[in-house]
Amino acid sequence: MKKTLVAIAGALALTSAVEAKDWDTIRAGVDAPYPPFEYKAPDGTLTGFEIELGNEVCKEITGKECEWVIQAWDGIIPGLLARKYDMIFSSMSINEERQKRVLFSDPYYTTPSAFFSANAFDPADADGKRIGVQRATIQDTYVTEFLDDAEIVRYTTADDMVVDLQGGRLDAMFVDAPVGLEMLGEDSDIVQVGDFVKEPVRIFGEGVGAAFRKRDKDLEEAVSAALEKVKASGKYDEIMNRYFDFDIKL
Amino acid sequence: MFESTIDIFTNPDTYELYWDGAVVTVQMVFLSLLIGGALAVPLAIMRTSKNKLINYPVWVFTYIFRGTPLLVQLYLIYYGVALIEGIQQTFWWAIFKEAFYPCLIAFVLNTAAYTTEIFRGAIEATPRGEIEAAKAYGMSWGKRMKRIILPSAFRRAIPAYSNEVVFMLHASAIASTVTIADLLNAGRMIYARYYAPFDGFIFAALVYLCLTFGILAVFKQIEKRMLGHLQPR
Repeated sequence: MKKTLVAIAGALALTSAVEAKDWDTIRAGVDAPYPPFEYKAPDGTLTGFEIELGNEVCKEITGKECEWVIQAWDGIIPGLLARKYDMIFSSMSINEERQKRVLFSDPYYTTPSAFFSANAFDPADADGKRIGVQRATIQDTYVTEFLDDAEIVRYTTADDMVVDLQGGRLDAMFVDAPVGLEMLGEDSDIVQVGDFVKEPVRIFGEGVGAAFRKRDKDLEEAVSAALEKVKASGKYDEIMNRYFDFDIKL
Repeated sequence: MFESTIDIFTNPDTYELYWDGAVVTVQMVFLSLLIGGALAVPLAIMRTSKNKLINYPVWVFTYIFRGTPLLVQLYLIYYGVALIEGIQQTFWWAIFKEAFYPCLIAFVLNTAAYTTEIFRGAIEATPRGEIEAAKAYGMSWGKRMKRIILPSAFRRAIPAYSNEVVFMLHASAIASTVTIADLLNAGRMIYARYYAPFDGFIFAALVYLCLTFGILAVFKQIEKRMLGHLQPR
């Protein structure tokens, strides 16, 4: 009995020792498709702004690209805590509620949110209008708080929401502006209405960061440092310019 | 870890969310069963017909709806219909715009298919002697159905039908995938808002359990009353 215990303790010590050593691969959780940040190219490979940026960051730390794990948004933090991956690199806005559960890196980009609609939708007059959001995003929090006279329709994925907007089931959708612009394309009759929405900071946060389990402080520091390097070397701008017409750097 | 549990269950919004969800689920299931059951009676009679032209179309219907996942049927009815060219301009759109009716239609068709087969089995199990006796009394086909075959068939169908009711309750959880704020949606909201899968889903599961117990209790009473003569003494 004692021997078994010693063996188990030894095994445990060994595994934690293995974990504490340098990260040789970083598994990154991502909610795809969420273009242009992460989506599948026609040949089936994962690509997008965050995929390319994440790969640069992983290369700085481990010398190779991240191992990407696709996870639906509403389970993305539980997935991290359940060790399905080691970091979330998936447009996660830093806010207080999330900071209770995870550790954030320095922010690496910020985007405003915006309403998209096919008809003359006015966010100031949303009473009884059907507005789509992705469940439990900061956009959901915003419309729940500020547009409580509207009928809020919550989706599991952004592409289901776009289908319903195009099909005429929604009067408007409220999403990250670049995501809306990318998903709808240029020749769509659905356009952005109203200005970009960035306030209040309490809801929209101070930008998007990579998220980690609280105990993985070492990995958070490594990623923040690597992000700094990628920004300084000009690789960040190179990737950003390929995906955006406007500056999202932080 | 218990912090968030306390947070969740001391917040009255949580209960409101689950209550609203439970109301939607019960409504949805009740309406589906009511309409689906009403459809199933004529369909089951047609299904037992010896005339291939009457029997065959019903067989195709039940075969398709029992042979494909309910989730696929729901997606086809909800997302597929929205892509039909010009449907937004017709009066059909008033029905298909909200998620409720497409979902109800999918549930009704699905439960109608299963119930049809349950009733068919019960009708075909009618003892020969009863039918022969009815014929000997000179009853027409209609009278035989009404007085002899259907009443005893419905009684025989009760145990199998109670299963279908419970399955329908559980299958209704997929309504949350097309934005309907049902009981599972409440669980998902708690899960996503507090990152608490156990709390959110276990509570939803408990409510489903209570509903299931309720259904079983009702059917137990019905069986006692209607099937008393078949119970072991």
